Amino acid sequence: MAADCEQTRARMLELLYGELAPAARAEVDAHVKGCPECRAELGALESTRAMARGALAADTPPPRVRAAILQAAAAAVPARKPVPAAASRPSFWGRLRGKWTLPTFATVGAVAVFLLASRIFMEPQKTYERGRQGLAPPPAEPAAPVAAAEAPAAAQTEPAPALKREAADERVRRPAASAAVPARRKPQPARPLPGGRLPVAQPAKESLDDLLEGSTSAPAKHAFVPPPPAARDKREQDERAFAPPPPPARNKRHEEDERAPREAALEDEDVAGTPSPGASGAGAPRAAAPRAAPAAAAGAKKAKASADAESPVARADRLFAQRRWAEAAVAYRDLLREDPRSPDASRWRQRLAACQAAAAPVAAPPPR
Amino acid sequence: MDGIPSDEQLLAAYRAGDVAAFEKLLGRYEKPIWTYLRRFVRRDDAAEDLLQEVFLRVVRDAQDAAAAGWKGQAKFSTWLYTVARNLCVDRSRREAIRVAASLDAGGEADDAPASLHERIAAPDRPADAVLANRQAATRIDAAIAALPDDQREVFLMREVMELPFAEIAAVVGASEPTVKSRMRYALEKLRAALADLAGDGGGGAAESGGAG
Repeated sequence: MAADCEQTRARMLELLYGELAPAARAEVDAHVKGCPECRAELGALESTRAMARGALAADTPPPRVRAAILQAAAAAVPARKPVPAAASRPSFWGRLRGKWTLPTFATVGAVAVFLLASRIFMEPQKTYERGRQGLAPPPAEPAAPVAAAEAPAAAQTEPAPALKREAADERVRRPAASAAVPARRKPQPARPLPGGRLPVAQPAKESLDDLLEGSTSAPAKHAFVPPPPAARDKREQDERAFAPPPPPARNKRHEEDERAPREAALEDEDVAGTPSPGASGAGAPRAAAPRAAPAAAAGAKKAKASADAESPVARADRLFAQRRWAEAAVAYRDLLREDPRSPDASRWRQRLAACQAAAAPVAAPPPR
Repeated sequence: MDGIPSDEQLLAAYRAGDVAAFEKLLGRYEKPIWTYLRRFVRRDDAAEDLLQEVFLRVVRDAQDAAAAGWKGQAKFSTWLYTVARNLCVDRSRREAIRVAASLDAGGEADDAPASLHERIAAPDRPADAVLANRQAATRIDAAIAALPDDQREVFLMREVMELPFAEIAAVVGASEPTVKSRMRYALEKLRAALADLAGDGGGGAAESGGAG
């Protein structure tokens, strides 16, 4: 018994941790069953072990460390992934890209250029405009080409297309002036022209002819010309036919816009009576001119609103420097009204007087 | 059981770029390694650094074929515990004096007051009846912390990492009988330190533990 207890104690650790071979285990179990001392010993060890395990089991790893580890693990993967991937074989997409990048970009580029060119040059109105600008004496006011294209049947009865035909004929008679137009256009297949005219300004004229001649010439050849009126509602056609042609109106407005600053600047200089190169050639007056035109008409209020960006003093000084006496006078008057006790007030007063003197119809140039 | 990939398979998958495989591996070993480190160095902040270091070694090992890491010659778990143990030993050597001082001051109990409460509340343990109060838990923690390093190391490897004695011997670099001897000493010391706990309500626990 004592010898068995000795042996059992020696094996108790392995028994406790389940490391005994089955045969040895059966032996030890049999002894422990019949030996209260050894059973108590084993029980005490198991109890101790259970307490310790309970304490150890409560340890929880901190989540932030887990997060940091996972982040590092994820970051390490893409750093080393591409190396074997690149070494073994190019990926499907890689090969596809290598093979098709150039053709794709070339195609996209060509299509883009074509679309842009068609958009710019194939638009009959623009084309016509370009051709007209190339001529020294502007022809008679053109009628609406778009309206004509959309409702040629109705438009042919109106005088406008006739004018346009004259313009086209004129261009044909002046090939040098219109030669620039086809050069910048996308080339189109030559085609016998109705009326047997020379194909000098061929593309422009051709589209014009199509517009004028209506659906009698094949419209399928010109993908970017507005479609024939077959699909259009009859009422819409009538409305368009009798409505005032919009594109010339737009052109006219555009011309007015262009003309306005120049004339306004001229008017300003006229008012001053002294067109000085410094004022007109500096570039600043040119930028300010579009603002000045409405200002002169609508008064200081509008000018004030449009010149919010600069300070009132700076604006007044600028107007003074630009010799826009009337506006400068208003500006200085406003300044004096708002801040009469300013240290600059006396300067403003002097300048206001100078402006008023200069703005007088027969005034001499003010003292600078 | 067949559907569960081995550690080695998971590591191979992570080598191939599968981060989820690494996460699984981390899930398997994070807790035992943490408990081992924490109980070994007896300081939570240091244990956090070491925990990170251990698994960053795994990452590095998987990343760099030339790294002096697991080469498949041993079980991954054995390699991992060896890494953890060596880091602990290095650290303990550097801070031997400080660790001794904190042990004298009973610093372990102060280091983890929150987890002590959790221990009491933690379910599914046969010793729940014994861990009925916070004081008992504190006593157990202190008793484990009071074990000599070599005994505590073996005790933790057996209890936490559940390594067989032969493997512990391999990791520690001692003979198996030496390891068993240390383990026996550790258990006897714990038993002595916690005898009154086991004696109060522990007689029954010991009986029931023996019967179960």
